[in-house]
Amino acid sequence: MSELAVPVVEITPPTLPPATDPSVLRLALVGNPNTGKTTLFNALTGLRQRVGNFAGVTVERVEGFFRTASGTRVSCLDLPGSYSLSASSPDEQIALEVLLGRARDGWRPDVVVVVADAVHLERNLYLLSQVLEVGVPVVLALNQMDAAESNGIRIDIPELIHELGISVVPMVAKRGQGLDALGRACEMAVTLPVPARKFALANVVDEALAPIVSELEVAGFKPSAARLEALRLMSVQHAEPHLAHVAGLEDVRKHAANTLAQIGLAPQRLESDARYGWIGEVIARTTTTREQNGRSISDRIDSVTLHRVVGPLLFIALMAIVFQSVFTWAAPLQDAIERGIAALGVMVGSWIPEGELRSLVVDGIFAGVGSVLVFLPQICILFLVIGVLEDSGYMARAAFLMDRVMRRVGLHGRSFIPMLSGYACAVPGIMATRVIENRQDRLATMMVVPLMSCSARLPVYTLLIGSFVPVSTLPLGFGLQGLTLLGMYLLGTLTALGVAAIFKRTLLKGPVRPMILELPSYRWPSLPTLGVTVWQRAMLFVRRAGTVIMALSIVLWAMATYPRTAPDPQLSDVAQQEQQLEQSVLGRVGKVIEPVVRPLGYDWKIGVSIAASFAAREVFVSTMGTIYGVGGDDDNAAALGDRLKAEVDPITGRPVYSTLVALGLMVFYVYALMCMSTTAITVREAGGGRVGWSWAGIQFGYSLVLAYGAAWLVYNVGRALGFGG
Amino acid sequence: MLGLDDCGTDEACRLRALGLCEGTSVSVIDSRHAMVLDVRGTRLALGSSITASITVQPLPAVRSARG
Repeated sequence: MSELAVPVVEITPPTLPPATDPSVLRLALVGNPNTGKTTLFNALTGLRQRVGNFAGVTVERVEGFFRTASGTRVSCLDLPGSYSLSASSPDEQIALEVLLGRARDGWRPDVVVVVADAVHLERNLYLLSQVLEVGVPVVLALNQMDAAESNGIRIDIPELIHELGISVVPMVAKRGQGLDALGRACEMAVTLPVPARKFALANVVDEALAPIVSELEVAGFKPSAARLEALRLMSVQHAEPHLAHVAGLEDVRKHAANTLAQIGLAPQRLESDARYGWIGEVIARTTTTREQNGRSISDRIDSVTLHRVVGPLLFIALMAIVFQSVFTWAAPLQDAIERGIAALGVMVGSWIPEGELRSLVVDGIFAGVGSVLVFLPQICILFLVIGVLEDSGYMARAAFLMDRVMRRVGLHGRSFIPMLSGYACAVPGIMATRVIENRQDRLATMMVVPLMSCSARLPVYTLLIGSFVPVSTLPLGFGLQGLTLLGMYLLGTLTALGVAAIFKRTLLKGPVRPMILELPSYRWPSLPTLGVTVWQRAMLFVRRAGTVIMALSIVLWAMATYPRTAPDPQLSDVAQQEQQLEQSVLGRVGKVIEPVVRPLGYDWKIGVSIAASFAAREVFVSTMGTIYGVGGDDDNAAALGDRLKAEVDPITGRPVYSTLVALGLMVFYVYALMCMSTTAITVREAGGGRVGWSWAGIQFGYSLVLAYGAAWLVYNVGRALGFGG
Repeated sequence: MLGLDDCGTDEACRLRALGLCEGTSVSVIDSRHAMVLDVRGTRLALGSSITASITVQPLPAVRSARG
């Protein structure tokens, strides 16, 4: 391992291989949000990236690899965007741990690159002033120099280098300007003296903090980092989580805070006063701003997007476009993928002799792969659109506009986009919860996203509505069928808001954090960056969810196929299929659960279809198709509908499917989480491992209870009121 | 010019890091349902629950870079 072994650090194996390779330069990238840090990271590393989570937390860990112009191999860690190292959020906590060499996976940076936005240099220097003290070589990447220029901001780079005592590289990352210079600066930085604090505290303050500093040094902190920590600990509200690694520090801290208070200094504002005091001097010496005449372009755009009337209307229009694009643009691609995979399956199947193996390959593996890949177009399009909204700066405005509404149910303005995405597909919706910083809010949103009726429910709704809801036109031209469909969507949405409120008051109880939101300047999104992000999300989905879904598909295939029944030559193919299904494990499961679904008005056939659709709800239609022997294609939906209407209960002689049963079944599908892709992605996004599985379990469990309860209510209350049997 | 009333909370800590610390001069861009402030050249939107604990003193017309 590297030079300074910190005794308290637990190193969790296995470490990524390059982390231990001494010939590789380890570079950590930190910066405020909206500085173009990710753009720079993508420009440096391209697609040579590895995405995971930091050990034990939901914070995403993105590591990339590149070579500098002179050939040095660099492993680059993109730390989450943070405004400071104050560790008030999990993201900032992680950034602090990594920089202090205390990351749990043992990754320690050789050099830290602070990415700063040249337009907002003053605020960006706060983070830099903290990073300068962690005891690692630092390089400042001064990004968005073009924007600074057009805003009339001139930065005296040599003077800034002189003031900061580190290399400063002016850049325009989205155009690739300054990348080579940054590489050289990093190579050089490792050979230069390590930077330290640039300002002095008053003697009395230094004396008050001295005991904390010495305690921290004993605990293995570098002297400079110990002084950083001591100052930082004065300003945090709940010091306990930060002190866990050094025993007995709390008393020393309290004592120091009291000493400072006695001499009339507020410990909380010590750090910000000292740093911003120094920053003010640096800014005064290095930057000149030409007076702008009139308001900036950003402010003028804001006067429209945040307008009292126009703002919300524009927001609704934009969201409609988002929703439509995910729905309509993805549809042809999804069809193409489905057909392509099916055709490929048939082709491969024709090379394999008729029998078990062919069935496994065609109906198990290829069908399983297809059911995974079919989500890809929606994921790619959604992340492309979200990326455009995020990078252009509009997302912050959307969160601002939605904050008041979402706050009523205890959520954050940023929960809105994931929930909206849920209408298309819960999988990208849950992945999109990453924009929510607070873990409680993020989990609460994740829990309710699947209640938004996704496109996979549509086949179920259309089959049942088409067959059982009469075509009648109500006043004003509304059709009863259309209204029923709308009702299903509304039911899901309102329940989602209600359930979120319940989660926020129970399991995920936490203060609703007041809105503190930066509204970044509007700018054009960079296409290469968007491309990399979309690619990352797509691969993440295919790799992580793909493996689980594949495995479950094979299990389900086996359950529907075994045990084999001897084919009865007198029966038709369709009847043989039906018999086979009835005898299979899945069929038996259906029989076993029949008493459970009876109170809802269902027979074993619906039970089997529900059981089969636990993996993916659209399977309900195809299973019903198989059972009723009309085939599962969409084209046959009408035929299936007629068949369902004609189905008669052998005991009572009454129709099995009344409008009431159909309605109950739809309500069941509004709530039931029957989609293994969603479950797989929830496991991952909720933190993986046991934590991830338990959240996925809670999500699945409450949905099922809700589904069963609601379907029971619809059926039984409906009957009591005298509607249908 | 402003002061933070409840200056020990996590939120106050975040605000200070964002450059909104005691003595900073800010200009109010928008104040209908939430405040939009100009703080050191950045636009910050703050919810009403947090603006309630920020005291602002009007400055004379001449703006100083820092208070």
